[in-house]
Amino acid sequence: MEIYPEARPVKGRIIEVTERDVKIEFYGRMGMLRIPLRMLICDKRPEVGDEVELMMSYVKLKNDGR
Amino acid sequence: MSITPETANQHKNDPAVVCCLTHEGTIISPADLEDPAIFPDLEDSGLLTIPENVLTIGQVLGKKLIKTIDALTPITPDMIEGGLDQGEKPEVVEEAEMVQSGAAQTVTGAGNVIRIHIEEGKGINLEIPAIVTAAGTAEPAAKPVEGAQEAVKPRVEDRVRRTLLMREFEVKEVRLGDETSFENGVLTIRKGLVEDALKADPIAKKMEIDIITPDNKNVFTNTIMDVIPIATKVEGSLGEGVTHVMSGAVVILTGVDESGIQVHEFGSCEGIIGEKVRFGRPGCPDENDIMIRIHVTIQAGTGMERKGPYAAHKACDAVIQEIREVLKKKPASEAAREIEYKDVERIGRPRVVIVKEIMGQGAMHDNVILPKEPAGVLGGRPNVDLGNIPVVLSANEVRDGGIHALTCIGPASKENTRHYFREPLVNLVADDEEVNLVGVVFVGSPQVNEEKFYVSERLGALVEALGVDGAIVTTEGFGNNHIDFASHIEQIGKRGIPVVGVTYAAYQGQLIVGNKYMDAMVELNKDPNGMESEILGDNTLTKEDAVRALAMLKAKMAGAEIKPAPKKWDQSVIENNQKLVEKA
Repeated sequence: MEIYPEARPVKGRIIEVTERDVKIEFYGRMGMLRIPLRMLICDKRPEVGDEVELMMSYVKLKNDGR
Repeated sequence: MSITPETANQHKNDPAVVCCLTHEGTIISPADLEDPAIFPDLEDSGLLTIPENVLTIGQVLGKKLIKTIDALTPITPDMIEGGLDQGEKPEVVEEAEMVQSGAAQTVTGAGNVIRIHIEEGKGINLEIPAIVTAAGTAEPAAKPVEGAQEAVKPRVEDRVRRTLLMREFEVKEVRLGDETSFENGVLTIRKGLVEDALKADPIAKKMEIDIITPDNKNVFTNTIMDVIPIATKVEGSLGEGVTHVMSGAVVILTGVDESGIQVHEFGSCEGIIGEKVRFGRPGCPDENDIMIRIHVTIQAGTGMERKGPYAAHKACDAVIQEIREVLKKKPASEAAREIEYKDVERIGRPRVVIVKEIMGQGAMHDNVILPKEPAGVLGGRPNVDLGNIPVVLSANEVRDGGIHALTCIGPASKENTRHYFREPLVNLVADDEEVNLVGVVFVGSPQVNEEKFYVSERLGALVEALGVDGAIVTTEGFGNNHIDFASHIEQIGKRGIPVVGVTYAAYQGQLIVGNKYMDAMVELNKDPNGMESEILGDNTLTKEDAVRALAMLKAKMAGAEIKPAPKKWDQSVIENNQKLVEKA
């Protein structure tokens, strides 16, 4: 099967902010992601409820991964 | 998309590819050609394949097309009226090199400045570092004019601004005992310190100290928060006078919170210490160093706030302070080595500044600047509290432990306290007789873009006021700190000052922003896959990187052309550049 796992813009909301990281929940209850602050690009100080967007693709399980 | 005559001129040695359907009989102009900047993308997506016999833009401009060709067709000699001679066949550039061998070899400045005054030109004053005339690639702007020979002044004596004497005392064994002492190479640390040191901060709840000897690296360690040299002032303040330092033993600070979470969650490097440390890097223990491991447990949940990691550093510093007190009293006669560091003003040589971008987002993304004791904590000011604005230190202040790093994430690319204590770039540039290091600027990296540009603009103003002829900007880690890193380079570059950038980027940390001044970049990656390898100090600045950075700056100051880097990270470029500077 040939699949096309191109990255697409995905949106979500910040649900937790610390001095170390932010936690993001994707819209549609499609999972959560925690990233360190240095991976967040922002024009203002991040707050809970702020919308974020990132490029993401489907996740493929690698058969030769172990 | 067609290109402008300026773009065509800039890319005159790049392949000529038509942008649109082009008819027979057309006289080729820039408007008919595609922008070479997007070729890599077109090639990646299979839309474009450039044959070996492709002509360059310089070769085809003004020539007549003898057949109608489709959009995105590379122009070959058979499509051009009269073709082209074999001799005109374009040279295929096999590999992009950032430093040209010629430039690197000819950098041998005589140590003078040539001042030329041209009467006819209505008082134009040219001030050209001698390094420029030494390099064969420079523009011949300095034609001898009447009186020029008088302007070549004899070499002026260097001015030593301050001297720092560092006495090294060798540690052969470390033990835990009833009293802190240091006799005959045996360092004894008082066991009771584990309780007393916690008084430094109530958030530090528990401490354990143990000794890891070089022959026993197969032990588990929690995340290594820092690697700290044991050094103390005996005379004078940081950067001058006398400092005593222990060699052969180094402190490693590790930490968890009460619920067992690593203090450096996101970039923690817990594991078997022999596998998790790149021994020998400037910021790491050396292969044969005895490691004094100070493990601090902080209040639950405080690892993600500024006060948590800071408490661990303060408690650790309290232990080191007791060792410093006995080290202070050692007689000079017992020192194994003495090293003299000098802050020298090299009069007449090109003025160079090193800019080190440090973390400044809060929590453990912070650094204590200029503590009372070398590599200490007390008395220093965290750069976050200083608003991350640029602070100038002399090379000696850096080498005397002027920076205590609270660095956190990205073990492979973070610069520990020991890194600054023996910073290879600072040492190299300070000792190089061809340049005049005016200072080392530390600038913090805040979180929000607006704050990043605020500090970056202040850096630009500061560098302008320093009146330098060249600058090297480095940063640790990767991520949004590359936004300010790029901005620092732009601020310096747009003032007409040659600037070289030094960072880890490779595959995982590839730059997310760029500007036209970022044409001379040094890659710090050492990992075969270009990743944050989770090994402490793996991708940090080493002596070899420093040599490449300085050679590149000298080449740029001399006016040498720097070839563009390939679009994607390619370790062979780094290896090739390394060979070039070694040959030179």
